[in-house]
Amino acid sequence: MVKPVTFPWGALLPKLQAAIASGTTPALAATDIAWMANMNQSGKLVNLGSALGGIKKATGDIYPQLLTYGLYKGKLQSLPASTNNLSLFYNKDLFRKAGLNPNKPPKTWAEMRTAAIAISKLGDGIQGMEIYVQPGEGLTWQFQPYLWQSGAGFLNKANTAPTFNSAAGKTALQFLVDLINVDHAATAGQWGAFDKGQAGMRIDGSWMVGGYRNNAPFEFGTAMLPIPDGGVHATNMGGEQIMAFKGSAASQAAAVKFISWFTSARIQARWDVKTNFMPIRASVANSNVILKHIAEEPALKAFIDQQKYAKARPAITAYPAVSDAFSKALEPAFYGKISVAEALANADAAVRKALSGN
Amino acid sequence: MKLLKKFSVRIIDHLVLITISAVVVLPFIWMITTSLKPPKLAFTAPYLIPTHFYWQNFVNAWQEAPFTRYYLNSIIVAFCITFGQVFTSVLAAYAFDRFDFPFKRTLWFTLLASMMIPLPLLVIPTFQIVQNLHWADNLIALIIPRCWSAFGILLMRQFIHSIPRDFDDAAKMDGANTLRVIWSVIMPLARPAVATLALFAFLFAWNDFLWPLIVLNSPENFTVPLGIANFSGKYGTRWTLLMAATVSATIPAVLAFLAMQKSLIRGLVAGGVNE
Amino acid sequence: MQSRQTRTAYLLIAPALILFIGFTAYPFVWSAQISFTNWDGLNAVKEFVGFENYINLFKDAEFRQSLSVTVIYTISVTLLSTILGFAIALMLQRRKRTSAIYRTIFFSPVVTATVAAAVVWQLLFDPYVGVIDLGLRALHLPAPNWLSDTHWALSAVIIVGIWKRLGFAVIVYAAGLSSLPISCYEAADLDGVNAWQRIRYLTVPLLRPITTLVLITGFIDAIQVFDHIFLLTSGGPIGSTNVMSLYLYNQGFKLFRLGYASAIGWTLFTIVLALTVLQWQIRRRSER
Repeated sequence: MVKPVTFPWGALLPKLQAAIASGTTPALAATDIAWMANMNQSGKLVNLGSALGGIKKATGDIYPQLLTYGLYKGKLQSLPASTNNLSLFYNKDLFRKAGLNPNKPPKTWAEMRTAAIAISKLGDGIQGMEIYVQPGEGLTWQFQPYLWQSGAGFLNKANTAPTFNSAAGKTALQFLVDLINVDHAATAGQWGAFDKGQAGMRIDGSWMVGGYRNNAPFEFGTAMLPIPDGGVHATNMGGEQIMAFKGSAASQAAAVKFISWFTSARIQARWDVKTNFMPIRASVANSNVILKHIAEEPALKAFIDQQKYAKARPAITAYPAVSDAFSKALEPAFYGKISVAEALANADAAVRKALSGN
Repeated sequence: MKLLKKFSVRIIDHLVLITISAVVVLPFIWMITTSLKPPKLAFTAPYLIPTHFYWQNFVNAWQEAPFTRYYLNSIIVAFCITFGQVFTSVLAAYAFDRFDFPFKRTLWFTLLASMMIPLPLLVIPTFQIVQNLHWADNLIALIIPRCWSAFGILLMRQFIHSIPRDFDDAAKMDGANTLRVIWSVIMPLARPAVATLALFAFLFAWNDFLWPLIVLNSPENFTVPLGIANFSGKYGTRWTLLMAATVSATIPAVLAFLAMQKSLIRGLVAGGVNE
Repeated sequence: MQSRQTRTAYLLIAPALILFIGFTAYPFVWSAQISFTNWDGLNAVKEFVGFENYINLFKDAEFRQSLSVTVIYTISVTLLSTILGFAIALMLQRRKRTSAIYRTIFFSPVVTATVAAAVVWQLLFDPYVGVIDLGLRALHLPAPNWLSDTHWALSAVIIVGIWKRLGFAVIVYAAGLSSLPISCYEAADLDGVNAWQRIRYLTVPLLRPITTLVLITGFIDAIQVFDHIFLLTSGGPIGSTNVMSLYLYNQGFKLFRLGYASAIGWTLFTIVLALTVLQWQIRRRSER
């Protein structure tokens, strides 16, 4: 008997970690890709490649870049359950009020800044742009696209050292810090102003589309993330991996069967329609169900266009610690307490320490 | 003149009391008002007295989360803990007050000193113990470790101490054994202290969050606070729904407690006075 | 006879004692052991690292901040709720007819699950649509961004802490006041002392045991605060509300540094221990 359990985003990894430590793992779980490294090295995951008749057969037409999280030492230990990315949400009502064209969302950082300033001039505490500044993976994952767009990196190829403390990295952080402390077009604080119609723009994932369509007290639009002059398109790749845990033969077989069913094109298409996640396979992307859904929900177009620029976060076990250290070091800069250079230097030192396992 | 002064004192008293009361009840009113707003109006023109009555929020909240289940779990846990603490505390307190035995002082001191141990410190190893007992994700894990209380033993001992030993002796002359004495002599006399202890135990169990957060996995085992936190994590942006959930999880409990208030306070009075 | 008494006594203590050993004493000692390792809870390997966790702790600026935040929170909530509770109880004593209604109102936060209350306070503290700032703005007072401002976030969680704790102090003090011997008051009335003198020289000393109860339970309660801060600010912004329990939770259950988290827990315990000993000393001296 497999019992379904859902967790809010932040609580799942601790639960799984504890379960692994105590040997009371569930039959299967779907968890955020950022934590896959920790799952992979636990030694408790079922080899899906062999259970499903070879990696090729198990993965089929799943996009290859989505497989990086599931492959560990040549074994396939999990499959993508969904994928998604960050794009720009904007409040069309506020754009109109600020005299901006609600059908012309910003394409560059400069345009985004102009729009944010114009909207913040509306007063009543309305922010032009909502920026995520609470420490934790939320801050890191929202900020990484800015790094990549301006040409900076996060960690080096081998994931052994930080690369964000560069001129490009400073440009990226300075841009957001200035929006807050120079232009006063954004506020460093709690997340949620956009939901209330109190912010002109925000970066977020496609899963928000359904909620806004039904509940938002304003008309919203979406767009690809703006990029700096001479920058490149980039966004962060989100998503979940689904995995089976070693257990009795029966529970393992049931879990593998479920995974195979869940990742099939037919079910994935229905899943994506319900959740507004992005397709994991070409056959899902091209299915009639999905094409019809996209036609009915135009806000998804930006996410589909953006998906090919989605970059993966480092798949290493130290990532939770790295992300924690990085975000904590950046937080004071958003509040104007320390300079951008200082924040990045602190982050560099803290991340090195986290990578070294201390 | 004196009358005037008396009158103005009364006015000032009430002004102060009403102001503080207003602050205290504000969250409750706000919770109710927001829970009855249509979602699209959640953040427009705040008002205190409900003018919209969008009951659909409650229907939706109850569809999204099994609040009946949460209530049931919370009640089971709270009742078991309350009963357990009263049971273990009364027995231990009686022994500490009426008997002499080796290591009595050491034990007493150790038990009292344990009140200083912060619960977060115990959470890490206790979680491992609970896992080893295969109690994880089970209400037992919430109940058993909480079925004793140093505070409870202290409170009961103080109260039992004020009951003259003659009462015990009279019962013993009639042939009652120790348990009999505790049950039919001590318990009835110590009722106010028992009520206080029960109140503390119940409130603690009812409010507990950190430990259930770590131990429980399945929504069908969630207690009310965990259910709310989980709901807030999932629907944090849908305030009207969240408030409907919060109202569902709070108001009935608050009303129930307040209905019992008289006996609860009577217990507290006794507990505080017999310090 | 003596041995039979011992046996009976131990049988009576047994239920409490077994639970105490199994779920308090044993984990307590075990957590000390964990605090000397670098255990991550995932691997079976527990490497002994000596005092490294404790040394790192005192080099850790985040921990030092957490320490001071905890101290400020604990003192503010305990003292303010006790003083306010006492004052309210005094007023209620004068307002016999309406006191039941007020007591009910003040007591309702005590019986509300803290987590549920925190969810509502989050809405109340909202800088734009929250009723607190709307009210302040209507009065032309500065309306801070409560939960997002490093200068105000701690005040905000302290307010919620007091809100939650106040009813307890009121009820206990009201109970204590109603139990004071009336003859004392009558004698005082005859002597023509004024209200302030009566409170200062009669009520306060008579209620000292109750004050001790309210302060000590309040203190032990507040120093472990977790629930509402976890939901309201998660310790932010820039760690300005990062109380020790929260830091412990994040280190232990988010970053899996069980050794480090246990060292935090032991530091917390040491503080409680030190303050309790101090309180004993003071009380003993004052009794002499």
